[in-house]
Amino acid sequence: MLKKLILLLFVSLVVNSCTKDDICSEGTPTTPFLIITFKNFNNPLFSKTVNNLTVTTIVDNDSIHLYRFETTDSIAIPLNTGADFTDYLFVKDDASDTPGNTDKINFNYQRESVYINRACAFKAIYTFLSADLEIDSDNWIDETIVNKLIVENEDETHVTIFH
Amino acid sequence: MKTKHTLLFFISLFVFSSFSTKAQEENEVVNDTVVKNNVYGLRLGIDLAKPTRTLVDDDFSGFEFMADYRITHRFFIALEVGNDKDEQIESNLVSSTKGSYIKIGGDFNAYNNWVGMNNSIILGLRYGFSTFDQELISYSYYTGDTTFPGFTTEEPIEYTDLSAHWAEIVFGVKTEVYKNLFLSFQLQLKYLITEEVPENFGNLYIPGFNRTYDFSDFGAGFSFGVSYLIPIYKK
Repeated sequence: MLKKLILLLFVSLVVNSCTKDDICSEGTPTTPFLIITFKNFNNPLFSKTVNNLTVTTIVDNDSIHLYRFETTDSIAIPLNTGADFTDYLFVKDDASDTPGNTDKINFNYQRESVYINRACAFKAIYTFLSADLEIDSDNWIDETIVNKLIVENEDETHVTIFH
Repeated sequence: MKTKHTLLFFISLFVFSSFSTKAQEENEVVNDTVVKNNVYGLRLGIDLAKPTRTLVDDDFSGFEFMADYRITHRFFIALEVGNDKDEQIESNLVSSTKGSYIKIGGDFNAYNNWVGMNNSIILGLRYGFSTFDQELISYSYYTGDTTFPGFTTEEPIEYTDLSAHWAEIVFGVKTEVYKNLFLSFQLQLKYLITEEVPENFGNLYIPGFNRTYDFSDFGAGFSFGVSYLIPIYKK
């Protein structure tokens, strides 16, 4: 009887020993998004909404829209963890029938790995952040300013765009 | 009336006689103990669960030796030493741990054996110590976002000279299947006391402690052993 019990316990434990129960919970702070706020170029203390803003990045020749026709004064966008730069297109007054004015900003940074836990593994934080506006014939953006050189959380504005 | 009394007499005679024989039996048991039927000695064994896992699980290899020495009727000094190598494959990282451990403590046998039997139901305590190396084989950044393709590093990072201390409660059974040959099964509940954690990483597996958990200091384990008792004296 005792021997059978031992064998049964042994078999059930061997079978049960390989379960994955750890899932990265949603509340865990992982790789932060870049927080951008839009402000009035003529009156830098005041935020200024952008009408029908579309925010797009190009990944493997595909356009991915993070915002589409949204009127807002702040956005949160991801940076590419696979490279030291991410290019974004910011389109103002955009609509499906009449394309708006497109400005391009190149974000450059360095990536650092920070360990979180078993389920989430690592997050990236970004250092030496820069935001460079590409000059074209008709820029709707007047100026970009980096408020935080290090992007490690989503509590504060990292970049301010004046228009 | 007379028959009733006679009946009572015989009933009481029967009851008393059965009591007295029982008392005699108990006396015999006591006598047998005096005749030195309890074997004291050193029991040496190996764990069969780890070699079995080594054969079936490509990510694991390990072994464990176990020993206990009887000091009183119910108390044993117990020791386990072993070596583990285990790969932790998670959704966002892969790491490998290898190292050795020692566990020292005592066992209390809660089982009342019949004469000549030598089985145990064990309640035990252990202090465990392990030294190990860890290798972070690959990892990716967790973003919670699918805009960009994920990024996975493939450059392994080595973390050496790590260590951990833990306490362990043991529940087990040992049964003598052949003269002086024992099969044992053990369940272990572990509590991590301190650990040397690598910088910017964690100990995902500790040899002897087994896998760790993100939000808990508890661990669990088991062993399935076969051991041989080297009799030294009888008491």
